[in-house]
Amino acid sequence: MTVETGLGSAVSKGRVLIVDDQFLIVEFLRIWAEAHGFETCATASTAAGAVEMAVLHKPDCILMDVRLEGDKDGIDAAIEICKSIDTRVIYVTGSSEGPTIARINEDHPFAILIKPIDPAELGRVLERAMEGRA
Amino acid sequence: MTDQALRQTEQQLEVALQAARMGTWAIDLVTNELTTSELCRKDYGWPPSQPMTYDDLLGLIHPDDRKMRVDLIRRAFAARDDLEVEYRVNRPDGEMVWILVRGRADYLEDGTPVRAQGVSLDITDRKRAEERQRGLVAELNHRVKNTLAIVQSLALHTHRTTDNPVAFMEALNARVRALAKAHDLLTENSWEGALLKEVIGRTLAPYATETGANRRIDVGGPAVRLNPETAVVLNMAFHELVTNAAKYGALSVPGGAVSVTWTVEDEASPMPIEIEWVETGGPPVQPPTRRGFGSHVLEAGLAHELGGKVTMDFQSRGFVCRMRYALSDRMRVAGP
Repeated sequence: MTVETGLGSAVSKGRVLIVDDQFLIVEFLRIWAEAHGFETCATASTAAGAVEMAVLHKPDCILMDVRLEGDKDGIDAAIEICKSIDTRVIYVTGSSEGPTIARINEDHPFAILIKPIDPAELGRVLERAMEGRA
Repeated sequence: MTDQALRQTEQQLEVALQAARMGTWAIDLVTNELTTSELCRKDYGWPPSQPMTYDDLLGLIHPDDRKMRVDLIRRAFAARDDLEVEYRVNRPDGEMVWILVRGRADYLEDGTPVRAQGVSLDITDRKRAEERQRGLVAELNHRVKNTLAIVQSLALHTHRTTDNPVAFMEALNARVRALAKAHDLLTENSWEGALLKEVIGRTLAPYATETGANRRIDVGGPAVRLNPETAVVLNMAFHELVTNAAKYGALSVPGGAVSVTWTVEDEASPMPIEIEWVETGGPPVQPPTRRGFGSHVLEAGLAHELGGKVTMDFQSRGFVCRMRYALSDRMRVAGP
């Protein structure tokens, strides 16, 4: 499922796509991203929805959960997205186990945040993700 | 020891090894001549009646484990320690098994190992159990982290929608307890999901104590199965509906009632599942002046996780909420 937030982008530091299949976690990330001055351009709960929203909105960065509903996960979605748009992927995952992190690292992530999220760290990582972007 | 006593001892050893399902082996480390018992050859999937050479054995060891095995053997012999090594074997029939090998070497005075002997054991069942356990622990860790992230979100939202610390604590405690109840239900079902009726029934259970004419709660519909994530978010949504009904709606006064019914229409239609929450007998309803967390979870939350549509109707005679959903892996009609 996908949601387009429809927020304006005039004053935002950057545009963020949030992908997680759990609404309450999306909401946490959205509220803190917006508190740090970023705009949530869309949200998605599936890999297919993430690809669709990313291509449509071309976000500056993506907060990407790894485990998603359906056959494909967040890493599959990120690989697909990075083939067609220039964006930075920040993985947000509950799995700190070696195999998951190793698989994420194969996709050259911009950063990996482990749940539960430190809001201040989220803000710092988002700020860094904007460095060098127009 | 007499010959008879020696034979008896050998027989006892044979019985003990068979009972423990252990094979035996011995190797001349100068010529690499290997001798193995029938049970040892069986561990490697080798025909019991055919001799197995050392080269045959090496060829069966999983390529990824060969170096580790050689290193361990070398280290044990260098230190004159007992040998203990576990490795994977690709049996000739294609099955992969785990073998434990224990042994001990005989040495020349200068420390050169000349002969080694020991036992082999098929430990595949134990290794699979360990793998399952590792998987379960990793899964538990993932779920705990996700749950903590949800609690973070509940705290944040509750903070944004309450006016004072007492109201914050009361609302947050109730939401965390509701989340815990959802987890209890999922644990009872081995985290394979839950029925819609179970989720709604448990949320309304505190008000379902009266029967007959005094009955306040009516819950019913066809069997609809929810996956764990959907069970959690619907549980939170119904918790918000119950809390509002208990504070301002039909459950705030004696005689008020709540009916929750659902239907599954033609499965070919885009949103065949309709859930209807109807309150009656409560005080006159006033539409809220601001959108609370409950409305947000009901509308945006359920839309995000399930798609579908939610309409809230603040009729003066009682609040009505209708939800329509598509069938998916998250929400499906349960089989017979």
